[in-house]
Amino acid sequence: MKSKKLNLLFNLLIGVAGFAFFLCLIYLITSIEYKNREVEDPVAADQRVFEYKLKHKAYNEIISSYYTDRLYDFEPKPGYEDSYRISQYAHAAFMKAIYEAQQDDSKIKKNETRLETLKKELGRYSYTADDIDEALRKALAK
Amino acid sequence: MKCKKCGRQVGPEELKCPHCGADNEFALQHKQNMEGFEEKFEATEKEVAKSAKKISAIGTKAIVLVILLVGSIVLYMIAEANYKDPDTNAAKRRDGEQHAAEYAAQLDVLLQNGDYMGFVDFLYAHGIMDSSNKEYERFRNIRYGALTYHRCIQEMEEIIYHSTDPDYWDSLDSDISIFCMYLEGFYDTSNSNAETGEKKDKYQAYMEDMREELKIAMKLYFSMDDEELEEFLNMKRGQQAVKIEEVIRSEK
Repeated sequence: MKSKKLNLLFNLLIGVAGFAFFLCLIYLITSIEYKNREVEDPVAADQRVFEYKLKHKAYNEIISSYYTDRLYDFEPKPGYEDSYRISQYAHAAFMKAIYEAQQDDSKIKKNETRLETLKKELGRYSYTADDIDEALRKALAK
Repeated sequence: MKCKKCGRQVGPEELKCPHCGADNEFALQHKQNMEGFEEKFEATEKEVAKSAKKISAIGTKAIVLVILLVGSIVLYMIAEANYKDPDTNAAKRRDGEQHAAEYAAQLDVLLQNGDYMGFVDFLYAHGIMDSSNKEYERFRNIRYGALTYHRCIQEMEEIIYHSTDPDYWDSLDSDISIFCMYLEGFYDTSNSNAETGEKKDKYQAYMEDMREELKIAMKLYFSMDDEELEEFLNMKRGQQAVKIEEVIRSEK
């Protein structure tokens, strides 16, 4: 009698454990599919988004992405150099008027050199420096 | 042994006397006893086999149960590991600890150059922001102030450089709201440092420089004089946002 009950209990436990095992197996299969999923090259995708932002002169968005990326990579990862340069130019240009108002010659000089270097490095995106300068000119004229 | 009838020699297992044919009682009794023992032995043997079979069946089930449980746990752990993205922050934190002295020196250079944005970016990029390493101890009172300064300048830049293209999403409202939120945070941090009587060291001087830069930035880019700025800083967040939006959306 006792062994019959024990037998029944074991059958029940094996049933439950078998079901759990089956679920874990399904979970494992889906996890393998997840791991092997095709992921779009993030650099190519980000480059397309970057070009789209440039097309609409959305420098605010380029800057936003730059500050987010830089929290992870202080120096630009391959493929992100242009976005870093444009954002750094925008920041240096933004700070220029502040340093001038502060009349801090050391900061002004360093910033001026940085702006010139970045402008040279912008290459085919050199027009963005003009857009940025124009946006600042308008902002400061208000 | 001897036959009880004829007295001649009889073997212990011979059921009848080979000489006179009389029954050998001892051999008969022995045969009967042996048959009884055999029956008992067979019954016991069957019982033992049955019991052993039962025990072995339960044992097998127990083993199957353990295998299923262990297997389920292993499969679950492998699946969890597959879903988990690699923890890049852990590697950064380790790097930040290993190069503490070198990174602390680089942070000092960034501060000396007035590159407060770079200072914050460097802290995050090397997993140092929340580090308790003694090399970074000297930046303890400045890092959260610098972080709010960073966010304020970032949002101001996003406000100034917002896209005027009507076909592009206009994020100006949200950028202004976020700026006002971080501005409050910056003044809370910087005032709290002043209230707690933090000793005036070079790091406090950097905080004051950030405060000064932020004030100038607001005056320049939000078209305010000293009096308007003072009034602006005493406004509630919503009022500040309205004021900034009026300036930014105005055409000149």
